[in-house]
Amino acid sequence: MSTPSYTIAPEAYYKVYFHAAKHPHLPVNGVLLGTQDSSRNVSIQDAVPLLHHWTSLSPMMEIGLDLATQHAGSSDMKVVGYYQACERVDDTSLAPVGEKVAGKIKAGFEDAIAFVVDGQKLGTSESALVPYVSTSPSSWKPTSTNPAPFSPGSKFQLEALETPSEAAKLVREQNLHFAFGDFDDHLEDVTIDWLRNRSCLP
Amino acid sequence: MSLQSALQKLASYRKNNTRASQEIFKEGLIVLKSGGVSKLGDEGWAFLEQLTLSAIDIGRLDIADQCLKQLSEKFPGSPRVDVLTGVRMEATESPSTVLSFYDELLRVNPSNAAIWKRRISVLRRVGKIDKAVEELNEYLDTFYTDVEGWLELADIHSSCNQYHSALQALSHALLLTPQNPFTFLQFAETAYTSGDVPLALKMFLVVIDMNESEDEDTIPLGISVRAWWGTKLCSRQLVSSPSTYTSDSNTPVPKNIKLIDELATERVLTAYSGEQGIQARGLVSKWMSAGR
Amino acid sequence: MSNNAVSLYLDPQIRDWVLFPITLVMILVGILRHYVVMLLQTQPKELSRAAVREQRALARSQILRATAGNSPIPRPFYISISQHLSDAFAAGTYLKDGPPKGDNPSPPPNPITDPAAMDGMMSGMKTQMVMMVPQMIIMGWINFFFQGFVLIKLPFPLTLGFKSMLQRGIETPDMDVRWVSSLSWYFLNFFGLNGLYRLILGDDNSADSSRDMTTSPFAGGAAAATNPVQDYNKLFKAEKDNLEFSEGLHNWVGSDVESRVLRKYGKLAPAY
Repeated sequence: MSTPSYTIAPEAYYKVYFHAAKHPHLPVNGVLLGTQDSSRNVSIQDAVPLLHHWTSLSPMMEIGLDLATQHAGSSDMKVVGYYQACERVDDTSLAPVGEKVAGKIKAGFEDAIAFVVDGQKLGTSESALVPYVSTSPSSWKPTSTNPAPFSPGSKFQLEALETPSEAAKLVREQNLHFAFGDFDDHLEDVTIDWLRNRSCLP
Repeated sequence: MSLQSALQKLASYRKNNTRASQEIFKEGLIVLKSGGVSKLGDEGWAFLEQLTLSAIDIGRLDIADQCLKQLSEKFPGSPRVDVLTGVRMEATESPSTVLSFYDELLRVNPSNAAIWKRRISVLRRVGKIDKAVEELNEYLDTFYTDVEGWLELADIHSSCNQYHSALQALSHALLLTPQNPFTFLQFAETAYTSGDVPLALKMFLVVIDMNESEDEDTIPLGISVRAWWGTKLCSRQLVSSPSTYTSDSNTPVPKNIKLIDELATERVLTAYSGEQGIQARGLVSKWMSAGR
Repeated sequence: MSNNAVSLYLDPQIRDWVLFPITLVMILVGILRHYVVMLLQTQPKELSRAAVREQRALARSQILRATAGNSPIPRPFYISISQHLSDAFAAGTYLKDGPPKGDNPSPPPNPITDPAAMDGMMSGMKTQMVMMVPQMIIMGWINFFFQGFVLIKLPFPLTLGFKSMLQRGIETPDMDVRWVSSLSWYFLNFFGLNGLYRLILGDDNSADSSRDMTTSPFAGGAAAATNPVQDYNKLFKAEKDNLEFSEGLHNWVGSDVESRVLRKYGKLAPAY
């Protein structure tokens, strides 16, 4: 049985990036939507941002996750992964809370994946995502596969190589991340379309 | 932008304690370049402090150093400038250097609250959570009225899955700010996470009860939406299996739980009845019916 | 009366050598005093952590008690905080010097032997001295050289009631009240220069002496000294009883919140 491989579409990457950029001094998290083909290749096509207030608390997370799952189902996708960014650039650990949520996603999708945003790589041309894979449902470890994630030949690939530098440009030049809203924003103003976030995409 | 309007904006940021570093920096730079500091008089120093913090926040250390130099020339040995110097050091120096800097300051003046807090935040950052919690407890035992400190303690506890301790910290925060619905909301969500659903339900309802501008005929807005969602989530679980939920705090399940559940459903859907919300309404009502 | 006014003619020399010097000396002394006081003022002594904790411990239980009747927190949480506090009060955990040893209560510390209280009193007295001494010297100077001098004539008429105020040191029953004696001029300056000082030295100046007259030289020191000498142990014991009393009053805002909300949205019949 081969290990699954993951491809990230620019849209998903942009959204993760915008979410982290909009709240630089708060932890943020969200889920990734995508599809899987018969040879276990996961294609991550979209991201749904969830929280930025109290990421370590679960009620809104639960509702958000439910709604995101339904939303994914209605567009023939699945919740395939989880992402989070910490308020400190040097922190790339998947906190206990992250593990819990990722574990929950894994219950619904066997090859679930978790990404932590590496703040030090935001704004560079490298991918800022640090993948975590689960060894058991409750324990998640950074991948130790060779070659390193997002380098040629790795299991983790970006659909378009220039996505990270493109995302940085969008944030710097067009301030697109201000148009971006997550579930927390949505709960304060229900007109914010957190599931799609069309207005912030180029 | 004119100097005048920039100054006004900055003053309002200061008053409301807003952390809008980009904006503060942008406008602060205009003031700094036009030499507005000397014209501001005493207020100028507060402005320099504000600009220093925001410059550090967005990584423009050159500007921060420039402001810091002016401040330390004017107020040598001032505790406030010491704090700023510490924050500036945190940006570039190793945590151990910063910690020993803070230690030295605290040795001279053990009751300097601001330095003590900075020290705790550095401890938390370098991952010495135990030590940070211990210090924070001691700090709060001395400076009981620091709501920010209690919220931080709650946050540390809940990020380590110690929800009961988090609730205790939050209860102190509630005592200090019994008029702030956000603290209640956080208490409710923490209670839910700790598994005490009846307590969470009550607290969500308190948040709703506090919002006096809302009634039957209005659309829930802002914080109420979140509270109604929370109420719905709790009541849904309590209706389906009222006996399985035990409460650590011995909070009874309300007798009218069915009515509350209906009301919450109605209110959440009302929140989505506006022109803009309607597109999400289908999804939400699906969620409502799925839980039954 | 008008005869009187005409008959008196003031030598311009009086103006140049008495009126102006008195005024000028008073202003200068005020400014000088401001700076001397600034020099003398010691930084308020930094309290140790334990002392801050002791002072604020009472506020903790007061905050808790204030909300008891309409408490934001559920009963178990309230009880746990309340119990914790009253245990701590009973054991003396919050006392600056740790829990008291032995049974006999320690005598309240003497302010003269307690260096902290002594400092407060000394600094109060020092400032008072700086205030008093120059005023006494100036008054002596005026009394010695210019006793009985008439310095100016006010440009407006006044009733006889002002006689004792404006003509101190001149015992003439018939003179027009509009004439001001040297000693009275001193007092007018003494009370009236504050506005000028404020203009020169800023709002928070210590040049104004009339303010200090209202307090006796020891009152300031004493008021500052009584606070730290308070017997916190006794206060804590008393607070403990208050806490127990409030525990009985405790009522959580959430205890019947569901009915209130249901009524508000018309799901329950309103209770009359």
